[in-house]
Amino acid sequence: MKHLVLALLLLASASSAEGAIAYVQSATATVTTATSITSGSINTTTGNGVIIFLPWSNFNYGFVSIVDNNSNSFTQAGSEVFSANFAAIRAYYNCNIAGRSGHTFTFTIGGADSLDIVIHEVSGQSTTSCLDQVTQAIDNTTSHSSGNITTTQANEILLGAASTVDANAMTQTGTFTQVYNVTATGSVIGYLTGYRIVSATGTYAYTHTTPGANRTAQSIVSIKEATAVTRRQKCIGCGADKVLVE
Amino acid sequence: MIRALLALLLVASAEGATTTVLLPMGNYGAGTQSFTNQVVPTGVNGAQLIIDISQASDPLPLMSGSLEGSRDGGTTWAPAGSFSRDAGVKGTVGPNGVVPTTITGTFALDAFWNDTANASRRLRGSATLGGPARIAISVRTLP
Repeated sequence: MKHLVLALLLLASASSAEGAIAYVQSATATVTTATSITSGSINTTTGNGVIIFLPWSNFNYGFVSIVDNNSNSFTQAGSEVFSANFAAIRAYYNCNIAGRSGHTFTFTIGGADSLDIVIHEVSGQSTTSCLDQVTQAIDNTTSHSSGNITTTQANEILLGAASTVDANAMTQTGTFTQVYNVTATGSVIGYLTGYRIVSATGTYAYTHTTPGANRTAQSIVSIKEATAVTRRQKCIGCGADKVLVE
Repeated sequence: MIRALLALLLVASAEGATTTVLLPMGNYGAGTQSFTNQVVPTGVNGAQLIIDISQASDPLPLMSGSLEGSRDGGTTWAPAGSFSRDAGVKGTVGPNGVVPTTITGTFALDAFWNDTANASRRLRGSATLGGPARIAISVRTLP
């Protein structure tokens, strides 16, 4: 006869907290006249995400490729934003990279011109579908904006970048954490990049100002946290095999 | 392929940046010019590898440059940035139509350049010419 020893089964929720979305590190490189540029190396972690911004002058030559030295592929977020006599900017991402030590990233264009590469590694993102929103814009003013995105999930990391061909220094505005800022010179495409972690859905933009009118392009990308912060149910009264002890 | 260890010829400081001339202006044949084991002072958070092409004939041969950094005094090395320029006319760069006088690669933020408190950092690098050219090569560390 079966004797029921334990009749109490409690299901308690416990946040697994596999990791809130977070900024990890960056790498950046710029060159005045070349066909390809490779970043310095970073030690990346498998399962993290990478977001790449590519500012360059495509006045003469177009985009060819973005590759790394670990056979990862990258998907374009949004489209290229460009206007004649402006610097272009593209955004790429990979939600689930194969990481390695000495990880480098190479951006190639169709001929010798000025180009930059900006790499951001994030953790805690969705590894299957991390891109939420993206938008890009160009302008020729003193107050610049990527345009608004409206996020669809509470916990996300926002990554922004701007590029310019004019020598007025860019000053990031808003509540982003600035990662890097290069002022344009005659042969250098200036760029600015930063990130912000948000905990509520909302409407956001990447913005900056310049003391004089600058021809700029801006991009903002929002990356979703893994839904992982899904809750796992804990079986109280279960054995190691997760079966109720009788 | 010619491979030469270059002597440091000039060190100049300006606004905290230090420029080291690795190869003075001169006529060089196809091949790779390299330098190694240069001490990187603490506080340095980036560098520029500069190929001066102002006196080079047009069109230019293929030119490339690369840096590697060591964080353990020269035992192990990792990429610290590189660039490549295909052979071709100097042309102009950017929408402002600037005629380039240098090929300048600037590198920062990565593991090597971010390790600013490490006194064991060393830098090595090389520049490769696909054909003869009159150039100079220097490295400028960034404060």
